[in-house]
Amino acid sequence: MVNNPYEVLGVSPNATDEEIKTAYRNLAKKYHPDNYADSPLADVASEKMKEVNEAYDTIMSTRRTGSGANSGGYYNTNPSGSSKYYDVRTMIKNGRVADAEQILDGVPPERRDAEWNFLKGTVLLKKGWTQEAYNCFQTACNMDPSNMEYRQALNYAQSRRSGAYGGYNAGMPQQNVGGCSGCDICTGLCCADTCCECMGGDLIPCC
Amino acid sequence: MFGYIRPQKPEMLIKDFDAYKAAYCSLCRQLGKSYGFAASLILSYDSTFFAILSMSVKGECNSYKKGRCKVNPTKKCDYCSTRSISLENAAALSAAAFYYKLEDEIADGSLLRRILLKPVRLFAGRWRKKLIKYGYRSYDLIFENMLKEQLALESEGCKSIDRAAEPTAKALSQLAGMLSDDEAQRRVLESFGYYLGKWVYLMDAADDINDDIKSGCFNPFVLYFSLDENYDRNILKQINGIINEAASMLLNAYNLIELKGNQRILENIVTLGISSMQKYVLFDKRTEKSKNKNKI
Repeated sequence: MVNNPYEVLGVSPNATDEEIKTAYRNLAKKYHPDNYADSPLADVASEKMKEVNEAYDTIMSTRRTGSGANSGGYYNTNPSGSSKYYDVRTMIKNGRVADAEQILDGVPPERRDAEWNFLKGTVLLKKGWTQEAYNCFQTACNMDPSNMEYRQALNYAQSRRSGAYGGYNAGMPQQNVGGCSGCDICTGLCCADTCCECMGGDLIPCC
Repeated sequence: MFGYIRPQKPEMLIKDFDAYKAAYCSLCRQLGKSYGFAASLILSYDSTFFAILSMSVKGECNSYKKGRCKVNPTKKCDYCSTRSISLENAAALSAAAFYYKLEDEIADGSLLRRILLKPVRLFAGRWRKKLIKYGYRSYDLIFENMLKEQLALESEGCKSIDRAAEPTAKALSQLAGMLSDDEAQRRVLESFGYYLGKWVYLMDAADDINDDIKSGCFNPFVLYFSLDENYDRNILKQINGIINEAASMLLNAYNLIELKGNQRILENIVTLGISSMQKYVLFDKRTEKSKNKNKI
């Protein structure tokens, strides 16, 4: 697929380097593999990411002939290693989510360890069952607090919950849109008074 | 559906708002044209969103002209003057969704409600027949299955939030997937629809918590957190977190949709609109009960 690199980045051909960099950074943030960790759409996202990287590289190298720009290097790291659930992990990787789930469900409850909970959470997340996946990741982390793989999965879920990536962030005070609170007015008056006094005048006679 | 998917008007450009309103009015007219004047009344923000998304995915280019509003003849609006598949689809979606929502209410409403809803059902039944005649049997089936699965899991008292949301999520996933013939795009749209459906279902459930505690109707949050009349309001923050997860997943999928127009409107809805609706339903509405829903 040969697309116009400027169209891919959504900028006009006479955009400045700075504008192109900003557009590139925004898109790279959007399609970043971290956003699609454990998502069945990871392949589509990485395809988009590749397109954006290529477009950016093309533009930059044609603009500065000779020195091809480095694209920042967003690569998906796939945590792997020896595991007794090797086959389940392979299935998940190959998109055979239902098979993986069937094997996991066959494990008797007393033998369900941290890794089991992590993998079950991964499978649930692929199905879109975000709430139960979250519970599984939490259990996995409680059972094995030192494992970075489980911790990362839980962290992703927690940051999705925070509202930072969509939805509503209940913890953050909303910006006052165009408003002016009583506090703002008082501060403003105090400032104005001080300024006036500097110049020899006085806005608020009592202070 | 429920009317939760709407734009945040103050953050829109005026030309975008005009375009949104034109789609809204055109869908109203399309409902009237396809299903009769009374059908204009089931116009919703959700189906308007679906129409705009569909236009954008299909790259539909419509022309608009001024006309008089039939519901309020003193008003003049922009109407789509060409035949639009997206509007026809959205009208069919509204009719099918309305028919099955009504069935649901009649199935578990009180006797008085049932008697009041009966005449409405006459209309809805007629619309459903037309819908099938127009070739939208697939839409009808999607909602029929959704209702069947929903009633089944409600009657068994399902305690899983994810499973309770599954029928609605699946229905919207199928509907959105139909918008594109391209394999990758279909998957992206299905995922988008899935989480949008989940978001809508969870929002509706969160909205009904207080009523459902009183009436004892099925509500996944009430069952999951074992809520009673004086529940701890901090639970709402947890519920907001659960809904945020659906919102962030739908946004992820949205970012991969190849849109051919109306990007700013759609982006406004899936980011700001969704966020402010969550804020309103979960927090503001409970503190200022008398405040009306913000009208467009």
